[in-house]
Amino acid sequence: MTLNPLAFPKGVKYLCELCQKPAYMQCTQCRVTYYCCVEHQRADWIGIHEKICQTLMSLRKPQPFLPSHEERKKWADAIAEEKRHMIDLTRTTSRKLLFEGKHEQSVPAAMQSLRFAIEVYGLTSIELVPSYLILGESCIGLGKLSQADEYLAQANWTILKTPNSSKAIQSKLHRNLGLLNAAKGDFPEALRQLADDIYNASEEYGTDDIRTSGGYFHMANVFFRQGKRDIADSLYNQVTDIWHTYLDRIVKCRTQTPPTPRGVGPGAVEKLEDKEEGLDEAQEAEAVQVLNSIYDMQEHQPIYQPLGMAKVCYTLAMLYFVLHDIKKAKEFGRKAVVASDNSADDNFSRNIVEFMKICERIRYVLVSCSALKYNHLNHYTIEKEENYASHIRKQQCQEVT
Amino acid sequence: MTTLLPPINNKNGRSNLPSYAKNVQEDRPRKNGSSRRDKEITEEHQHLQELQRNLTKMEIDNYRNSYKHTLCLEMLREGYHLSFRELFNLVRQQLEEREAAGPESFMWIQTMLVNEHEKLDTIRFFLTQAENAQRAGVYEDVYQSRYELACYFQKTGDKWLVDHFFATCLDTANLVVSDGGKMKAEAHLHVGMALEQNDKNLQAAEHFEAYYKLSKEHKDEWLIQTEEGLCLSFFADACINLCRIYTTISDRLGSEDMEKSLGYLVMAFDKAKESEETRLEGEAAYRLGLEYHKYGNVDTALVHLHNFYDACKRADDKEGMGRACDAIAKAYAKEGRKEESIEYLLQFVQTAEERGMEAEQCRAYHNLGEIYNSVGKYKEAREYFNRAYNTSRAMSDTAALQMNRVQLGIAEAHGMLEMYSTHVVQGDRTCLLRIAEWKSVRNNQFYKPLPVLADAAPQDIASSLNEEESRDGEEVEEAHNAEEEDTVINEQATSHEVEETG
Repeated sequence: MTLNPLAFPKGVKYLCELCQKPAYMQCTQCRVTYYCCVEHQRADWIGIHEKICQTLMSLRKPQPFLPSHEERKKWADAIAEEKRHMIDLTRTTSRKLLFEGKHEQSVPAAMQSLRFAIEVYGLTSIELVPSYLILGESCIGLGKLSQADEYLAQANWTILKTPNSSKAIQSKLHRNLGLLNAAKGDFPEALRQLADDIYNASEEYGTDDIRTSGGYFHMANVFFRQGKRDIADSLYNQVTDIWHTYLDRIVKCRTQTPPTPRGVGPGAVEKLEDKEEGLDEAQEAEAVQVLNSIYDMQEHQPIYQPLGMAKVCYTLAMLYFVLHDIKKAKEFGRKAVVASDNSADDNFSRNIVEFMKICERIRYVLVSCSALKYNHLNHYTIEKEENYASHIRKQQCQEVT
Repeated sequence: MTTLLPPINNKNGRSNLPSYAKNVQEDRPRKNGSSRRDKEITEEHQHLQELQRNLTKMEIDNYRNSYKHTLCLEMLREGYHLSFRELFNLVRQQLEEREAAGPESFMWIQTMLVNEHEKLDTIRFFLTQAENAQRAGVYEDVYQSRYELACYFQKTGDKWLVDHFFATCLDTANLVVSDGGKMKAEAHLHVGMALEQNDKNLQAAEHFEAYYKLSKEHKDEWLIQTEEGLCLSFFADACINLCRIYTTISDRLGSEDMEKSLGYLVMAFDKAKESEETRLEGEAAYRLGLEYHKYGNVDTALVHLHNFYDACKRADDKEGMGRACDAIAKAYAKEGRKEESIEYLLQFVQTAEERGMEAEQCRAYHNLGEIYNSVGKYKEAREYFNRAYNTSRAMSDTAALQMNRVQLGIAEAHGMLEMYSTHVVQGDRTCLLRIAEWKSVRNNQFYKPLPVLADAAPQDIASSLNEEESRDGEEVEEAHNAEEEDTVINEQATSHEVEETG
């Protein structure tokens, strides 16, 4: 909706959500966001606005009249809580877009998260650092290195000024600095920063956590570009191993027969779902990106390594299984079977075959269910799906008779 | 607005300066004298700054971070991520163990691995070496590096690190194929040893068995140099280790599970046989014999004990022979064959005397005394108990001393009993006098020949004494015992007092 700035109330200036220039447009749905031009509105819509449009409406409307102090306080708390939630949401979204390689699109979400963080925590808080880091990373992706440098310097300064800042955030900072230096072509410095990243992440999560694996992956890339293939290979293997163990656990957890819940009702069901650990969106995107690039790397190796290949394929298959993309899971599973045919490790190939069987079963269930236009399967474990399928089959029989 | 500000660059000099600045200008020449010194100072400053060049980022980090942090960063930067992982996890493992051990554990006093820079450096050196070799696929070198690390920590006394590195040695050795499993066998041996020291005997036995199996096929090829410069084959070494571990296991099982512990001893004996070490075989046989004896199977026990005896005889091992004789005698005694028992005991006494082993002597005398006592040869019994008593006194072994003293008393009483009862039965004057004498001053005259019964003894004395002396022999013995025990108790009491005052 176009606006005329002259028609604004006196003393009020509406600014563009992205570039802070005088606004000429308004979002017709929430009516609280303004843009300078159509491009910016579109970029914001694709980046983040689509997800937060409704919430923004409630957040930006003026405070209603509340007679008592307690009520005002309660209202403020609720708003702050909501904003904190928004910080999480916007950050995860932008991170996911980053991992998918859409650097341009991730900027609006990162800006939004930074804005919320400033509103909640103030200008100098360490809570702003993740947003700075995301912005820095997207700048690296876009090739604006000096701007990235600025953002990361800001983040670095904030961390230095904050005593006892958490290791997790330090690790992220070092990872981004490492990436920046790698992009600049300063490999020794990049390695130094990435090493610091791995060290800090290990302190926080342990050496074999998926959150540490990112550092290994970037380090491997740097070594690869330096031409040290053997080191890079061993690091890629390490990354694959970490993901493999992690995904294997998730798959086992999902496919095992759940113990018969004692007691009836929603309580029992909740308990079952609690146990399951999952990946958030950003981690999913990271896994897809990391493992696929390792797969490509393996495929283009001058010397074919069946064991490494099999492992990557199997891990990818498990990943797609966890992401409910059964078709791709089967495809990679088949590749893993082919690659592991000649290997001596019986246990490994047996695992793959077992996994393929599970895939078959799931596929059957999915097919039989989709025939009945049942689309909300994704959140159910296999057991439930099977139960549902058998239930449907019974119904069919009854209908036939 | 701008005209009010004084111009910054003034070519004409002082004319345009505001009034307050003029004074400063005039002061200048005066300052010139001291400005030379100023110049010197600034020059010196610059010189010093040149000497102390700017720190690089890395140096700043080194200053800021802990030693371990710097070490890890260096390792990672060079691409040794596996080494980093291992070192990092080791440090963390120790810290977690300390946490788990609770606040009162002595681990809080000891220096942790994090703070021992020399050890960290050593680990780093060898691990990176190992990782290099691993990348190249030379597993022999990996094994060697890890083995050296384990040896290093054996010297410094870090048990848990030794265990860790030996365990990883075994993992590596599993990958080595070129030498037909020699490295694997060695690794199994080391892990077994480490486990044994940690008191995990059953697991240790498993590793020793693996070692045994591997070395069985290469009996003559694989040799190790022992410290004494002797050549020992891996196979024999495996047998010796297995024998030892089985014996320990059976000891631990003890009396809880007789059958199992006996089974382990039999296994130990088999392995000892295979090792072809006479001495070891004999020892195993001896232990097996004792166990059978304990279990009640005397015949089998005797077979094994005789084996041991022969082995000792062949090796001219007097001490072993003594032990064998002792055990054989016991077994015979249990079976009731006292003559054989006495025979072996005499041999035992002889060897013990020859070797001058007092404890063995004492035991031998004691056993002999007991046997004689049970066959009714009180005189010999008394003699041997006396000897036992003297030896134990010479050794100042209180427990043995007290026991022997009581036994000596019993033997004496037994010896006296016969004569005493004849005296009581006969009951004439001389007899009664002797009894009364013994009663009052413990003067033993019972061994003197009895007078022929001529006339009846004076009844008055007899009747007066009869009431007191009408006890039978057993009571005498009891009295004797009681008296002995009294003295014992007194002695103990005094010794306690001495201890307390001391």
